[in-house]
Amino acid sequence: MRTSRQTVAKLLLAWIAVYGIFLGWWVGMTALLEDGQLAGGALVAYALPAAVTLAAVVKYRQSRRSR
Amino acid sequence: MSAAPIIGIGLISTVMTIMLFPAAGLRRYTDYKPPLFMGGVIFMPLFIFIAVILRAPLSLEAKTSLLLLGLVGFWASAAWLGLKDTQGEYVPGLELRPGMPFRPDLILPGGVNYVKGTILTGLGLMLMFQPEYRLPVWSWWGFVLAFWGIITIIPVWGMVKMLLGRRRRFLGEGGTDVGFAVFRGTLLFVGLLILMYGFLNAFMGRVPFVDLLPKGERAPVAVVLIVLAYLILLGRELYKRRLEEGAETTGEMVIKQLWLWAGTLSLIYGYITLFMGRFMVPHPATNPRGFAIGLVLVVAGVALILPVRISALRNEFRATIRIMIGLLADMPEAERNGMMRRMMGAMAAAPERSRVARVSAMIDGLNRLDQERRERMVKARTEVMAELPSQERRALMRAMDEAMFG
Repeated sequence: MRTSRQTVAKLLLAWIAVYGIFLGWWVGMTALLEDGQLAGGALVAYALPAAVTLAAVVKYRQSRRSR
Repeated sequence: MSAAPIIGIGLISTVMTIMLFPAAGLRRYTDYKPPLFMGGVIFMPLFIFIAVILRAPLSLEAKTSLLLLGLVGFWASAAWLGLKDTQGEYVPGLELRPGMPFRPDLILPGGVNYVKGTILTGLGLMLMFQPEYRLPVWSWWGFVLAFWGIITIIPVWGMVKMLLGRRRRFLGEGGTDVGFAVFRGTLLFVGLLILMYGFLNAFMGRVPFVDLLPKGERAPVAVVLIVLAYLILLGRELYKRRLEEGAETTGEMVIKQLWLWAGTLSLIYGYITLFMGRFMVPHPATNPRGFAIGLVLVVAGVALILPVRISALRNEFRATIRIMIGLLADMPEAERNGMMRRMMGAMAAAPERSRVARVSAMIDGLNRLDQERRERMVKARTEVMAELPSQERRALMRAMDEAMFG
């Protein structure tokens, strides 16, 4: 793992993106739950981790198949 | 609006970014970040969901249902980290220093099982101990403090275990001395003090060091319980010195985890007594719902610390050797042979069960390498074995037979 300036810059950019996503996620869940939309809030809460995990599973299967 | 959630979410984002960053590129990403590992990491921010629920202006019924829903994901994402495909394959390009890769999948599962098991046990006891049913009130400042406890226990304690313990033992360079055992036990204890004080504040809706301070009434008993917790954790580390990592029987693994659980429980109860100022007992008659939910959470926490963590630690051990074999294959020849010599010497000197366990993981590592790397490693192994004294060579050959043909 090259710990060059380029890697640090990429890490920083990734952090900003991840932070933005989580802030949006938090704001979205809060708005829905405070509005009394419980199912919507729960759906948003699970949608993000479930989508990332699902994407990882698809990528994993593709990489297994390509060998 | 308080800055605490902004800071708390920033801290969570930092961990997520570091854990999931494609440091060795995207082409073989899922080889070094398998889906189970990714899922275990990405479900951690359910903390944010739990925080939102506990602070939302909802009825007690709605909050209870949502909290339980959130806790299902919180628990399950730790439980699947105990499965054997959580740890990835050797992938070049992750080395921070020669022979030292950045592989959180080798330390995170056991750490997460323990931390989440502790949180669930603590939360469960809080619910059981209330005279009437009510839910915790979230404080982000409490979480901001607890975060540093998580960092101390998962990455810091995990890396200490990996670099100063496991790696040194594999290379026959020690890692079993009393001083190291005391250091590990102390580090865990300090991490737990921070984690539990943070989460006690988080679930009581308090600001650490401002709203929630020790109460004098039962302080002597609480201090005894906290000191007892420290002694139990030290006792566990000393007990572990007698065991051969990777070759422990299930009974020994269970005892090891029971020590951990007992120390944790003593600390939780000591903390609750210290900060509540009274002895806490369950109230099944006046608070049947809190008692029932609390009991389920305690059982869920114990399940993570006992069976699931045992499985996670075994998988971590095998994967560490597997990945070490890949690392050796990519080293310059002189370094590879030198390290191989130390590794084989340590294996030959280990008790038989441990030797077979390590040789078996090594063979697994070899089988997973591509042909070029495997040939390089087989050649190095043959050369190193030829140099060993005949007694050691015979011991290793026996272990190979045992590992391959049972």
